[in-house]
Amino acid sequence: MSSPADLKFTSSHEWARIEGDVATIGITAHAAESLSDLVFLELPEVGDSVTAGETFGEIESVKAVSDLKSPISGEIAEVNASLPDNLSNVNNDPYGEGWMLKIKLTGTGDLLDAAAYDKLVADAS
Amino acid sequence: MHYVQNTDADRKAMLATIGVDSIDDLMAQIPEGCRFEGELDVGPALTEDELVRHMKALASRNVSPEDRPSFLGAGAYRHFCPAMIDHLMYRTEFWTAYTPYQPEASQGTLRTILEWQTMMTRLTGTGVCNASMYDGATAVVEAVMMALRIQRNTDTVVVSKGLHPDARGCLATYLRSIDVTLIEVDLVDGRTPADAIPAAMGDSAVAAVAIQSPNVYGVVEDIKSLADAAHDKDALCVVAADPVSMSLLEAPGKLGADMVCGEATGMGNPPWFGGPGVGYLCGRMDHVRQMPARIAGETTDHDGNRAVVLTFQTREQHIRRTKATSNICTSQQLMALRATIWMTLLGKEGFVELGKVNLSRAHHAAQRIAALDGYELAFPGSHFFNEFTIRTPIPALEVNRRLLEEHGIIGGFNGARIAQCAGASVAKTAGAGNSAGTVNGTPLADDHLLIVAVTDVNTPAEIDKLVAALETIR
Repeated sequence: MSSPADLKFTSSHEWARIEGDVATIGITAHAAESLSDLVFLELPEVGDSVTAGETFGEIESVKAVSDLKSPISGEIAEVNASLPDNLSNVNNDPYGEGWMLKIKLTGTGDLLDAAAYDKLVADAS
Repeated sequence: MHYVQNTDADRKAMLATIGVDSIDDLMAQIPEGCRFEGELDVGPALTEDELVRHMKALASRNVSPEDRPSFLGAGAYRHFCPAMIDHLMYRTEFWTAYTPYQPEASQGTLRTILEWQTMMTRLTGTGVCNASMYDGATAVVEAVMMALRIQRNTDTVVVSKGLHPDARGCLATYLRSIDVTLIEVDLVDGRTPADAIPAAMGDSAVAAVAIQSPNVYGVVEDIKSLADAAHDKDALCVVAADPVSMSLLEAPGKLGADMVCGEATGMGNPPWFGGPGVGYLCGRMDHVRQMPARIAGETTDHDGNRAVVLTFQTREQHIRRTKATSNICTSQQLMALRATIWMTLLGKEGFVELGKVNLSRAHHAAQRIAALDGYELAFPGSHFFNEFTIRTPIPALEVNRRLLEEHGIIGGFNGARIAQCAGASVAKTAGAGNSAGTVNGTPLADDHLLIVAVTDVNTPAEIDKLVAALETIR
């Protein structure tokens, strides 16, 4: 399955939808599928700043605990506060209802386009 | 035969492996001034038989509450421990202090952890309890650290001077290195005044207000008012408490405490040598992710049978150590096991009955001591469980010395020791210089306070002996 073409990706399996100076971020369908059933998600708060490549939260599934790494830098404008209580949204709709943060963008990390990300996933499997 | 059975050949091989010629060369990096020269003054070598006799002779010089009356408490209380506890503890299945590394292989151990957690949450009126902590002081510290993680963007902790000095000192040590300000609140008439909480906070963003009830002077605090005062300013309320007192007193969790913690040694454990203790830490279910150490839980195996697992293994040892909630990665399993067996043997009614015996004996002793010339209750009108503070006509240190030397009685806890135990490590203090605060507006002299514990193991005859002895000491 190919990833949405309008998104940018990290090699650590997060995505970013950049619209003007605001970016929405989450984890990819591949990441959600690999983690399987999620049990816990910790997100930062509005007003916190995030840095591309650095941890912004953590996610725990029945299999593992993983750091969430931000694809971009900026200040958090909005948090999907209901997501930790509706973790199935991450599995069922990773690019929609499963969004995690909206960030007022100041910079981006080294991001991949959909084709490059799909190749990365394909090569790894 | 050498105790360390390395042969000369072994040593030679080891030295060769690491590339040094001799033990002296190995030690060369230690400056000469720091090295001990000459023979250790340990006397001539003894045979095993001689050594056992020598150690027994030394041990017989110890003074133990096992063989004379003791009224020493201050956090380590003696209660009756049925022989069944020792019998079960020494079973090889349990005989380890550690939570197991392959936990699910040890269903029996996990089951006892689950029972401990269940009993402690019910007793404290909280949602969740972990598998136990090292001791009371570290449990209080971990509760405060939890509050600091939950309450982001705070940098201050308010602590009552009624909190056990070990916990205060331990807390000060932790907080000093993470840039959190510790503000201590003075006691008034033996209690932490609720109106002192907002006053101490000022404009600071406070993570937690930590109190103890019954406090270190034995006085029962007004937990509800203090918790309300903390919550009014968006702080969490940490209550340290002797779980045995909950046999009669309302559960702190039902009075608004967000974390309930402390020392549980008194349940099924003698005071040993002042340790090992066993700390407990209970809290709210919505805070469980910030709780340190381990939590056992029940599930079903693939055949549908009941099974116990470590539901919550924090990351301290296995993975992601940088994300650890605490540097404490174990539990005090053996001591917690004793506490669990003790509670089980007493049962609900027996536990309450034990509490009543503590209460009536302590109050009986307090009344009789307060009636003696020169002695009075330090905090008249306050409520207490099994420990109370008396004002002594001469320094408490001297009272204790004469009790021991002239009457063979181990006395109470010397009030002057509280300031010494808490240490001078507190960054900021809210008021008076003493530890005990004021009574009717007048500061108490710490060194004329004796904190007396009377429990179910102090017989009426022992109390008579103590009262008669104190009558001669003034």
